[in-house]
Amino acid sequence: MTRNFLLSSASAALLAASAGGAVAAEVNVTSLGGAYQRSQELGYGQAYEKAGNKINWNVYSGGLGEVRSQVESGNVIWDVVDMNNADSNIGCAEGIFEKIDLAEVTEPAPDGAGVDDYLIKRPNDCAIGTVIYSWTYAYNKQVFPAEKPTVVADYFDTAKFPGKRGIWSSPTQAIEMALMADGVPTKDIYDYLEENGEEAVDRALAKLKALHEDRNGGLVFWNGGAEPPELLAKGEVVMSTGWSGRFYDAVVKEGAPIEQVWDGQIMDFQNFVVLKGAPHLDSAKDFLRFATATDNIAETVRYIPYAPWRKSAGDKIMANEPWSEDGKTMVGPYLSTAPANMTNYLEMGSDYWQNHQDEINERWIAWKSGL
Amino acid sequence: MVSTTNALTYLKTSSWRMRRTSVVGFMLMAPLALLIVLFLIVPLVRFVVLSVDNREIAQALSQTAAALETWQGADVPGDAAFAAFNRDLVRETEKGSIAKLGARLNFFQGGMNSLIRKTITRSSDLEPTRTAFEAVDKRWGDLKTWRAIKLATNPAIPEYYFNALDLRTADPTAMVSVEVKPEAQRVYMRLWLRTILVALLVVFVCTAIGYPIAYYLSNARGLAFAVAMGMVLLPFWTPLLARIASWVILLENGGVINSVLVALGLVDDANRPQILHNLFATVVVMSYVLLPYAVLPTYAVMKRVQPSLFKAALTLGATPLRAFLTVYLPQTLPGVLAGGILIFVLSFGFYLTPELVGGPSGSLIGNLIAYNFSKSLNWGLAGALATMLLLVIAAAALVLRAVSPQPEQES
Repeated sequence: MTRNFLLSSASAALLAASAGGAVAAEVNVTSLGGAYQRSQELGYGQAYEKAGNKINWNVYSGGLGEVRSQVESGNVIWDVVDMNNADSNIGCAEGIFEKIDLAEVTEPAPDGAGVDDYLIKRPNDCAIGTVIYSWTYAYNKQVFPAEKPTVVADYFDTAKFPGKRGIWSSPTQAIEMALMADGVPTKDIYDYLEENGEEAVDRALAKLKALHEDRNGGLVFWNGGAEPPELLAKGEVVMSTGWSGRFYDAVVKEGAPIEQVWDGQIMDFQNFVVLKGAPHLDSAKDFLRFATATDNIAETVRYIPYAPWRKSAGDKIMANEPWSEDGKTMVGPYLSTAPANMTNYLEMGSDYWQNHQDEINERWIAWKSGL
Repeated sequence: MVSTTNALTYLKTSSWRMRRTSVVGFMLMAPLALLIVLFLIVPLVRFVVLSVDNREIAQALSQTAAALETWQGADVPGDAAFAAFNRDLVRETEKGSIAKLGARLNFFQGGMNSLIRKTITRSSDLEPTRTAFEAVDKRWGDLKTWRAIKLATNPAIPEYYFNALDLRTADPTAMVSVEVKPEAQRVYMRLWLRTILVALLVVFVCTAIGYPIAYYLSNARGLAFAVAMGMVLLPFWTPLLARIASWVILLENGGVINSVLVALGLVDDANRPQILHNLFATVVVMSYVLLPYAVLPTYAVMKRVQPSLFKAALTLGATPLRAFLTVYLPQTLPGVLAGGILIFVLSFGFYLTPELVGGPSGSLIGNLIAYNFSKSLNWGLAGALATMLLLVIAAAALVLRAVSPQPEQES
C-alpha cells in the first residue's frame, strides 16, 4: 500500500478506502488438504494473516460437486477454491466462477515481468495458475527389495510384483495408466480415447478389472491425497497411485520406505478459482495477488515440491537450493518438470476430461459397483 | 366414530381446564412438529418433486419441443428439428446456461454433454441442417440422440425412476416403452439387491448375537446387570466415527485380527485374508453398530415373560428345548421381530459405515444416493432413489407397527 501511495496519483480518500479494505481482508480458501494445503498455509497463508488479514481454510476432495451445489443453491460460502485445469475449464464454461483479469491479480516479478512471467498459458479466463504436480505411482521399497518396479506396466504386473494396489476412487489417471500399460503409446493416449470412445474406456476398465480380480493383485480405493502414502506405509497396499508431492512428503518427513515411479507420470496443472457470488470478492483478489507473488508462491515449494507456474519463482528456487523445509534436501529432482522425470510423461488431458468426464464417471461407477 | 350430538355434548361438558391442557399439550409438541415439517416433510416433498421435475430442460428446449411434436420416433427427424434445436442452442449459449443444458441432457443419454460442447464450439457458423450437424459429429445422425432429446422435452418425466432400476425409455414417442439398460451401464439393481441382502444379513447376525445377550440381561441382577447393560449401551455413547475407525484397525491387512491369525500360524503372512474394504467388513461393522437395537427390544419383552410358564412346561414333561421352542420363544418373538425390523430399516439407509469400510463390493444404495447428490449432481436420480428407499422403509415400518407389542398388553 505504501508503494501505491508513492506511485499513484489517486486521491487520498480512495487510498484510505482501499487500504482499509486490504487490512481487514477476510477470505475463505478451500484446498485439497494434507501436505499440499500445509504448503499453502505455511508458504503464504501465515504471512498473509500476519499482514492483518484473516483466512478461513477449508478442505475438500476436488471435483465440482460441492462448488456447483453452492453456486446453484445461491448459498456461496467459499471464495477461493484450489482446482485442476479440467475442472476449472468446466466450471468457467458453466459460469459458476468469476472471470478474473490475470493482470489485475499478478504482482510483478522482481524483473518487472507481469503476466508474461507465467510459463504456461492459463486454461480459461477464470483460473489463476499456481503450481504443477504429477500423478504418479509409488511402491513400498521393503516389499520389493530385489527387483523394483520402474515402468508404468509394472503397476499391472502381479507376477513380478504381487500385492494389492491403491487407486483413486475416480477414473482420472486410472484410465490413462491402464491404456499405457496395455500398449497404447503415452503420447497417443488422449487421441486414442477420443477416437475410440466407449471401446477405449472399456479396454482400460477391463485391464483394471483383471488387476482387481487377480489373486495376486486387488485394488484398494483411496479418496484423499493423504491416503496413498499411509496405505503404503501401513502395508495395506504394495503400490499406489497418488500425487507426487504427497509421496515426497512421506519420504522426507516420516522416512517412509516409499519410492516413486516417474515413468508414465501425468503432469497436471493446479489453479485458484473464485466462485461466482463469492462473499468476499475483493479480498479474494487481494489474496490471489499475494499468494501468486514470486516470493510467496516460491515459499510453498519448501513444503511440497510442486513447480510454480511463474518462471521467476522457479528461477529463485533453483538459484537457492536446497530449497526444502529441512534445509538439506534438493527439491529439483522431485519436481514434475525435472528432466529425469520427463522421459515418458503425459500432460493431463484437460480438454478430454472436460468433455467426457460425465459419461466416464457414469461408466466408472457402474464398473466399480460390479467389482 | 363419534356422532355429531355426542361430539357437541362432549364440547359442552368439557371444562376449560381440559381444553387448556390440550393447547398446552400442543405447545409442548410444537418444536417437534416444526422440526418434522421443516426437516422431514419439506425435504421429502422436494425429493419427490425433484425426482420427476424436468421443467428447466423442457423450457430450454422449447423450440425443439415444438418441432418434435409430431415426430414418430422411427427415424432421425428432418432439418426443421435441427433448425429448431440450433435456435435453442444459440439462445441458451447467449443466456450462459448451455453448460447446464449439456450436463442435464447427459442424464438422459451418456455422451450428450460432450456432444453439446463439441457442437456449440461450431454453432456460430453451423448450418442448421442434418448434414452440417453430422459433419460436426456423427452422433447427430443417431436415433438414440434424438430419442434422448425428445424425452428431455417433457416437463415431468418418469426417467429417473427407470434409471433407479437400470431401465430406460425405449421409444419416447410411445406412451409406455421401457427397456433394460445395457449390461455395462447397470448399477442400481445390483445395489438394491445388495442393500436388501446386507440388511437381512445384519438382521440375522444381530438377532443371533443379541438374543442370548437379551436373555442374560433379563435374568441378571445387581452388579452383573449393570455391567452387562453398560456394555450394551456403551457403544451408544461413543461417536460412530470412532467406532468405525477402531474396526478399521482391527480388520485392515496389517491389523489386529490378521496379525493374530498370522502369529497363530493360521494364515500365511504373504496371504493375509482381505477382511476390510469388502462386503464382509460392511456386514460385520454394521452388525456391531446396530446390535443394541436387537438387544433392547428383545430384553424389554423378555422381562415381561413369566418364568413360571417355562417351569410349568418342564414340570409337565417337556424337554428344555421343547419348552424353549413352544413356550419361551413364542412369547419373546414380538421383541425379536421389533428389533429385527428396526435394524432392517436402519440398515437400509446406512451410508457412512459402507463408505469407510465397504470398498466397492461393500457399498450400498445410500452411497449411490450420496454420490448422485454431491458428486454427479444428478439430483433427480438421487431424489428418485431416496423416494424409493423411503417407500421400502415405510413398508417395513408398517410391518413393525403390526408386530410391535401393544402397550395395553402390559396391564
